[in-house]
Amino acid sequence: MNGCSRFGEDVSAHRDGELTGEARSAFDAHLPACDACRSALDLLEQLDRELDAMPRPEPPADFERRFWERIEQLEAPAQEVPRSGRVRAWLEALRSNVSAPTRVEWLVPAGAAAALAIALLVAFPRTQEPAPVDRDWALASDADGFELVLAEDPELFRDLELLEVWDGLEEI
Amino acid sequence: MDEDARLMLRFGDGDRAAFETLFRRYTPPLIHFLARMVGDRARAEELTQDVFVRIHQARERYEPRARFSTWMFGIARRLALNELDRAHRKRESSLEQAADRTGGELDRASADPGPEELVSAARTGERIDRALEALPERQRTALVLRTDQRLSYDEIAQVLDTTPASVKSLLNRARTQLVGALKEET
Repeated sequence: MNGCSRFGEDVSAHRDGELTGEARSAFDAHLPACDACRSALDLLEQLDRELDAMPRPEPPADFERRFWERIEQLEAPAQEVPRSGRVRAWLEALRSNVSAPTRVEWLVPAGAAAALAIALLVAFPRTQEPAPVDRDWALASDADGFELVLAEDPELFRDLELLEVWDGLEEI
Repeated sequence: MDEDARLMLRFGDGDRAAFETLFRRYTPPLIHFLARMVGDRARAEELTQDVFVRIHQARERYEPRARFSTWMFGIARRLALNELDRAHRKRESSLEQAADRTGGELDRASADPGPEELVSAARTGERIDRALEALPERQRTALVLRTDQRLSYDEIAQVLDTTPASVKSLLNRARTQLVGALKEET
């Protein structure tokens, strides 16, 4: 397609109307006398006709509806997530009310970290000093804060003392 | 400021109808562009939705530094590149797994269409289609944006993060390849 060696790339740019100023004037003066460039232009016109003729099917009828459904899902309010201050408030309420196991529900964005936390809490016997708690896993990867889901489990409430001394929670 | 950029700013102020105008205006060209880029119509439709999700989410921080269509096709191109990369890694993984199953090196050339398939793609449109798919990504992007969307060399340069002179060269090379397919004897 290239046209002659001197004006090779200008053929394509001329077709696109992107040659300006002196470059355009020079090409316009050159074109009538150059069979190679005129042939290249003809081929480009033919190529454009083929490209224009390629089918462009319409989008599916439900395309827009599906899009707005997706936006609704993305912008739906998150399930109630107690923020940092609410964790402290929960602890206060529990201290004043604990006499029997009470169902408490928080949310866990990082399920694995929460499961590990629960396993560690349950594993500490009351008669022993609580083992040092690694804060990193508890605070990992949740930039918005750490929320904990506790299924109804009496043993977790017997370990409330451990939660109270766990400095990690105080920092959330 | 172009009209589409004004519509986007109105959307940022809460005018949903402005966004719907942009959505309906650009859905067909985006699907077509992405189908050309990734070679899969169904996936192109999904990626088009992804583009509009990003536009929707950017409504409050949008600043019209370029034409709206330039910004939008820049988003589309990045998503297409991610898709191509993902598909390439998946193909490589499949080839490696197949080679492991056969106990030896898989002839990767066998993944390409053989002579029989090339001969069977006799129609000009099919030859051009194949040639388009075979172009390097930057040439294909430049050509599709120019021929389908009528973006200027400056605008294409912004999408590709390059210069108008480079776009001129990319288009020349792309068209040389496609004209070769056009002239191919069947």
